[in-house]
Amino acid sequence: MKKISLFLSLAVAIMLAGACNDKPDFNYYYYSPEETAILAEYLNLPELPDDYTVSLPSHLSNVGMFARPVERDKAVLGRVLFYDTKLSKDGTVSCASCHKQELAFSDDKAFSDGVYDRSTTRNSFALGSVANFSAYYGTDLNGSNAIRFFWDNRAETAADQSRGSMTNADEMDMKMHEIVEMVQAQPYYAPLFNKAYGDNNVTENRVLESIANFVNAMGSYQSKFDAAANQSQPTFTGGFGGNVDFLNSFNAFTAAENNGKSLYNTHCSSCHSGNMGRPVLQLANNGLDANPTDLGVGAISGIPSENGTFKVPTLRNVALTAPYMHDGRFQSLEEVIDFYSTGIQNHPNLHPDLKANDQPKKMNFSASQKADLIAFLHTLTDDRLLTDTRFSNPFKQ
Amino acid sequence: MLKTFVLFAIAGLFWASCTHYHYSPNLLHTPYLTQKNDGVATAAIGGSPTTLNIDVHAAYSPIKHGSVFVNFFHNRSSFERSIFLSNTNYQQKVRGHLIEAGIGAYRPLFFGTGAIYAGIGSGAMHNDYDLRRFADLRLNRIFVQPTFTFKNNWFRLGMGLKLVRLSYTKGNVDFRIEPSDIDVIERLEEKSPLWFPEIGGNLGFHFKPVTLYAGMVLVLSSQVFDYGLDGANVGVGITYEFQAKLAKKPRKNGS
Repeated sequence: MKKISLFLSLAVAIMLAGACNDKPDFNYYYYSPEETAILAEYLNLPELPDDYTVSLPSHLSNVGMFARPVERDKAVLGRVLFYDTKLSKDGTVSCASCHKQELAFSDDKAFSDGVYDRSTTRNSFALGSVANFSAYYGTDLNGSNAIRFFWDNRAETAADQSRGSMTNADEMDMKMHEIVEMVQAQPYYAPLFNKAYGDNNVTENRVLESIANFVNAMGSYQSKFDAAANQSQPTFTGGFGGNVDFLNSFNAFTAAENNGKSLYNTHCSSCHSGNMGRPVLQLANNGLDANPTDLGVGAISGIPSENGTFKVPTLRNVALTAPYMHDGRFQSLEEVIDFYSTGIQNHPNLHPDLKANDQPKKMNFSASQKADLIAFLHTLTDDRLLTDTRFSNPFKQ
Repeated sequence: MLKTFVLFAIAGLFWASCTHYHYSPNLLHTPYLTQKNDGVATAAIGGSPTTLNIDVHAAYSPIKHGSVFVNFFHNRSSFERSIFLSNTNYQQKVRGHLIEAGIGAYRPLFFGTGAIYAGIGSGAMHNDYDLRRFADLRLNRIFVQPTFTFKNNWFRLGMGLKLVRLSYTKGNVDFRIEPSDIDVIERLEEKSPLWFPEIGGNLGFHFKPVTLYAGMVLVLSSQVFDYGLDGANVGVGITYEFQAKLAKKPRKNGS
């Protein structure tokens, strides 16, 4: 019996000895030392790739908004492509030149600067005006109602949109084969293509797909509006488990913000969306001009009833994206509200919601109503997007 | 008894085919030691449709009621995976080993022998995700294992419960492997050490001096699913039993 006790004591001693000092020491690596050396010369990329997974809050997912999966390694590559000025004819313009992160990926000029001091012909569309790029654009869950790109809805996919800007003579003025050659010539792309595709073969499709993965992860869904919506008690409507009633006041809002929201729901949400999710309208004429020179969607489609119509954006981060409208004619939100208050012009294609008795509607906002509307529009600002390093310029300055 | 064993074996095969990236249990050995100088040496092969396990075990009783033992375990598997968000399939290959040693105590109990063993060892799991993507984990295992064995001239029957403390000490992980696997490994790193019980046994037919047997072990924990562990090992093997002749030689006169 003594021997058994001795053995048991030894067993316990072994257990205690073995349990000491074995806390895990794990090393995670992504780039090889050689790849790290090449990348570090040009880029400020994290040692491990950022996670670009998007999980939308319930007030958006409950109305059927779901972000499509983003391939992390392609998004990392897409981020570098997005900020690379070498992909333009004179080496001065990148996607980010007209889509600045601090401005919710819009530009503060009516017409952005292109290569060789050329100028774009329309205002840069704010990429951060949506809850999530991939959930907003493309088809909905039913595979229909595809949301198109550009002010005139001429592009069907994010890849088409990127190609359109890269090859536009007023923007980056490149041919796609020139883009491919330029990418191939930059040493920092080989490791990134290796990670994203398993080899460093550069193709047009890979370039466009990577940029699409990057922008697909973009979006604003952590604004004061979103936080207030998430705190609101959902009402069950037979859908995904309960929708927020956006017509109710939000507890987290000030009186001015709630009043502004109420005005917005009355006068604006039928076009711009009440929940800031997917757009209600794909295109509309909002009465900017009685005789527009820019025919917008009509110039692409050739359909007379679409003359003078343009894409209708959701208004996330709208306080950051001045100037406004497709031609950047309004410098401030005050000017925009003044326009809708008394300045809508008649046009055969003017949207019915902007008409009263077959004449342009005059919303006649009071000064306090205008201030409340602006207070509400400021609740749509998502500061997180503006400083999120995953979307920042990776190039060493 | 045989029917129950077969049912357990089938359940074990099913269990074993679930996940097996970061740990695979060796068979639960129950050395049939009943007196000083008894010894056993065992080799077994087992696994599941996608795994191959090799077990080597030796135990010896240098003193009455006391024993020492060593285990070596090698496992490998190969199965099809898909690259995340891609239609590209590849074969993930897993290779692991475990070497351990320990001591035990035994004494007659009812109609057989009761024993308790304690062991400590270390090993590694090497995962090859193709495209030169690897995840290597080093692990330590400590266990206490009470067992009960019965033997007669024809049969050997052993069963036991192994209380395991599994700790991961080092890891070298390519971040390009599937994100879900990165997630599991990060949780393993955070949670380590894991504690869980294993239950197992073996049934053999004795043909002096060897025993042909079938054995199995089941990990009784949902951590199998949480952390990518192999839930079972089922195998067949052969055991050689010996009685060492260690009597001292008589000294020569005048020397």
